[in-house]
Amino acid sequence: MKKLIGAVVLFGIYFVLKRYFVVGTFTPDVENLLLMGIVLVGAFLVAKLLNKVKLPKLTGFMITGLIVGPNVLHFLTHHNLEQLRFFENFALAFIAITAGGELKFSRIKKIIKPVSFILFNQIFLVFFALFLLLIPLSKLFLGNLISNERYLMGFAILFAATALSKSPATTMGIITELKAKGRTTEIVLAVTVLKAIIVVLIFPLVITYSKIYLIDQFQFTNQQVMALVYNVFGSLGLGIGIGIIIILFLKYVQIEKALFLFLTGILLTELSDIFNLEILISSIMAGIVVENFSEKGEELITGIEKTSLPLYIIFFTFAGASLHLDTLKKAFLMTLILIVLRMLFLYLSNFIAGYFLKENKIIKHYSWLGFLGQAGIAVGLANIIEKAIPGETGLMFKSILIATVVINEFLGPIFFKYLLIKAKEANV
Amino acid sequence: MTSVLGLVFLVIIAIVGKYLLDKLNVKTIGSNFLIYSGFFYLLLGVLSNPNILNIFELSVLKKSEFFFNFVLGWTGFLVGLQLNLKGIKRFPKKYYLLSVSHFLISFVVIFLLLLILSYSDLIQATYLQILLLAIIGSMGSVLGVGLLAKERSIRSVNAYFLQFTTAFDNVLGVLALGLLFFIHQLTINDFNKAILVDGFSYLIIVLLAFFYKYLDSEFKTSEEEALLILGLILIVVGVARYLHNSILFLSFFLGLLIINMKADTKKILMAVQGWEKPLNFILLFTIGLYLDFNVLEMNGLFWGFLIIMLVAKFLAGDFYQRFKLHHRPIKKENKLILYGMSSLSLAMVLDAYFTNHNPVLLKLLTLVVLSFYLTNAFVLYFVKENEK
Repeated sequence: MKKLIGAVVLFGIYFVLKRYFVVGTFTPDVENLLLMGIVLVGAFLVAKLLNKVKLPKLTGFMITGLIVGPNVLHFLTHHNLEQLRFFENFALAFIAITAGGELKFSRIKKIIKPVSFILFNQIFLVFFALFLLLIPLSKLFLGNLISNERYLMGFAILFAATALSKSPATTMGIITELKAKGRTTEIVLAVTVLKAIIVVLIFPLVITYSKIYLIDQFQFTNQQVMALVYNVFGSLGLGIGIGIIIILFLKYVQIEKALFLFLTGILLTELSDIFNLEILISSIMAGIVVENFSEKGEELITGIEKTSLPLYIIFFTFAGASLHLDTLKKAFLMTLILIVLRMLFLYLSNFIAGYFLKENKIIKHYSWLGFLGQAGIAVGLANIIEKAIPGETGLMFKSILIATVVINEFLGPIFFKYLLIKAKEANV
Repeated sequence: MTSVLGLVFLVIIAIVGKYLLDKLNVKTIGSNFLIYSGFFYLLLGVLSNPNILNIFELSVLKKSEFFFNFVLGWTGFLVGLQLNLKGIKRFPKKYYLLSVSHFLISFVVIFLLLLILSYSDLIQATYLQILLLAIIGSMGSVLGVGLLAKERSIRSVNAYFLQFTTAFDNVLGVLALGLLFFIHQLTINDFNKAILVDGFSYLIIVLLAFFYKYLDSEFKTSEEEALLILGLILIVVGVARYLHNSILFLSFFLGLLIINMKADTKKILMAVQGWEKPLNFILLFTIGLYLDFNVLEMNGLFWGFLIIMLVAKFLAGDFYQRFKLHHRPIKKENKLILYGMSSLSLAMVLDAYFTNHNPVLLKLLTLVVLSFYLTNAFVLYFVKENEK
């Protein structure tokens, strides 16, 4: 009740100031300052409120975004979102650095067999099975919404690719909450982080390929291939470069660490923007480099974790506010089908891997429960799509994708928690 | 290279520069003052200034203003946290009496003399600007006194008292700034509306303070606590900008209310301390960005202010000795020890600029920055020389 009253008071202050106490000029600066303050505290309270019914905090942030966004209260408009876009990208950079920081090579070596088998299955089986099924399904459910039949093929490719994504952030969140330790925990974590990297790496390729079907007269030229190569290697190079700078800083300078990390985030965000590189790859790479080639990797992750809460709130609230409910209504059934199919193929992927490796019952039948949660990176991918495919088509795809993220985000942590308890690896 | 990137590179250079300076182990009181006052960050701001290297273009400066506003709000909040009324009993009553007297004497002398100069057309300044100068001239340098105390250049009993005085007169300065903004409100609105607007902004701050008290238990870890404070400061800064009030004063007021509401002081300080230094450096960098060096026409005001402040501080310092209210009289040469200006004075002028965007205030800011370094250098040199 306290939390609800708190959130209502905050939203009330903004409402009164904007609508009834008109004495000054409501400039964009004033608006952005008030909105950021209200979103940070309000979203936290809403998330805590929903946490009572076991909903993850990230869902709470997204629901707050939905409430204060253009769909309901209109506090956070599309114009505000555009103005505050820098903060969204900045938050994404930090989330991705943390994800990369979880990929410790020495830990993965010990569980390389199940990790690689599950990873291979989850990527190829889920992708191709979904791709093949989605062509007739898209035709059936989205056919009347799409003028050009070629779009269906493009949709199928994009759907299948984005279904691969899995949030390392939510995985880490549950592991920390339950203080979980054990083989299953390690396998799920390693597959999650590795898959996030692979998905981000192949995604530009998939987007470009899908454009052949989505955009009229679009052709896959050598220049585009070169642009992709530039994008992937440039992003990797930037990430490695920033990782080396962080290592040198942590080793030799060691002062003003908080300020330095803050600036590193800005540096990644700005350089990725200037050189048109993929911020997710750069940031993950920076995290990997620091974690694996420096003794101070843990220090970096701890440093970021200390400041991560506002970033998560901004990122997920903005994502919630960007949700186009009106478009979503048109394709709700498609969203549900995608979720169920994704679950089915995740189960099959892990079952096959477990069967051939003669793994225990937990890995064979239950480990798929650790791969449902989609957040952070998936939302990032959806944003890429919106930018790459402008107009109604991109918007609809983004909305469907974020809707699957929201639903998976509801289910993911609950399922993963169940898995860890079942595997007797939860210590709380 | 974009301006934001320029900023990043420059601040990284500043961090590394500070590291190298530490390595070189130059530990004179002067170099320590430059380091602790964030001089190098200010210098970087000056270099990036649209009028110097133009790394930070005017348009980007405008776009980033809300972030600079926030940094100012954080500064005010930290000052407010220092005024824990429970701790007031720790100090003898005469400390407060002396500090208030010192502040008031300095304030009245500076204000009246500057006003006389203004009426006689020797300086060009409005009465609001003169009031602002009187406030900032009446505050002492926490940093300067702290460094002298650390070097044992002041006797320990005096050092304790002087450190108290500088900290307390900074608080008095912020309170006076609140009054100044109310007077400013009266110049743009009629009395009733000014009362309504100011009253409403204070009401929101009180509401937010109660909000904090009511919900603090929900923000358990220091990270969550920092989030709550961050959010509240952003709201306060937004309200201040919207209602043409002082960002520093309103956020100070919030800090003051929160720390005195039986709050968990340790928890709050743990949450905010980590960000104090980085944000202070960003504030100094910001000040450097806004400086306007076309100040030749304000030459008279600059020298007039410095001399008048010297007279005011001498008279206020003399007050200590004349009334012998202190345990031991302050050494004669130490009468001017509070001549060094407070770093908070820079933030105050910037605050005034953000409220009405009057370009004259940027020139005033330049003069105040110069005065800040000159007065502090004077005090450090003066005391050290007398030591010999």
